[in-house]
Amino acid sequence: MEINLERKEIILNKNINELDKFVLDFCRNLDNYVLVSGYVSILFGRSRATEDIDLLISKMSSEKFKEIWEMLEENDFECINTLDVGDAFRMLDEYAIRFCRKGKPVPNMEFKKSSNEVHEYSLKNKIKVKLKDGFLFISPIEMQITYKLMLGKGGNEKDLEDAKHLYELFKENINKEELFNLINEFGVKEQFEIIK
Amino acid sequence: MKIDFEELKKERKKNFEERLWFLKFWVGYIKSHSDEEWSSQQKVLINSQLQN
Repeated sequence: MEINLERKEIILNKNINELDKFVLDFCRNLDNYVLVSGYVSILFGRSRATEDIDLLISKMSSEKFKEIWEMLEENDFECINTLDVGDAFRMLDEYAIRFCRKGKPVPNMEFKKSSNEVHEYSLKNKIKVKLKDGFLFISPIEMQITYKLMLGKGGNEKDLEDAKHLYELFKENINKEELFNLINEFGVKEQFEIIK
Repeated sequence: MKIDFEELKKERKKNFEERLWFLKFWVGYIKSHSDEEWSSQQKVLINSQLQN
C-alpha cells in the first residue's frame, strides 16, 4: 500500500474480492462521488463484509441522473426502490436509493445525494484509491474516522471498530490537526479515547 | 433462570476490548505484509459471507 494523503492518493495492490468488484463495477458509471462509512474500512482490510455500501454523489440535474441510470441499467444494475427514473430522482431529494445487480439484492449500493456541509467536505477532499482493476474515490480518512466515532456514540461497537481500523492503519499519514478539529466539532473525544 | 446482567455487561466489555486488541494486531499484519497477502485472506472471508 502506498499512501500519499498530501496528494490525496493511495495505491492499493490488493486481490479484489466480490464486494470490491461490485463497487468497482458500479462506480465506473459515475463521476463526482465518494464512498463513505463501513466499506472504506473494508476496502483497506477490515475483516468483515457488509450488505450495503454507502455512496455520496454531488448534486446533479435530472438529465445527468437519467444518463447515469441508463448506464447502470446497461451494466446489469437495477434500482431496488423503483423502476421509474423520474421517481428515483425525486426520491433522492429526501432518501437514499439502493442499486443492486439485477435480481441480486445483496450487496447493494446506497446512493445518496450530497445535502449538507459534511457531505460537501467529503466530496471536496476526496481521496483517489488506485487498484489493479480501476480506481475509487473515498471520503477523507480524517472524516471517516470521526464519522464512525460519531456513529459509535450510540454504543455501536462495529462503528468504533471501523474507526480503530482506519486510525491504526493511517495514524502515521493523516493530518492530526484536521482529525482533532473534526473530533472537537463532532463532539466525539470520549469515543476517540476508547480507540486510540 | 437467573441472569446476572452485571456479569454479562462485563463479559461484553471484555469481548469488545479483545476485539480492539485483535484489530491492532491485524492492522500490524496488514502493514508488515504485501497487499496481495493480507487481501487473499480477506477475500476468502468476504466471498464466503456474500455467497451464503
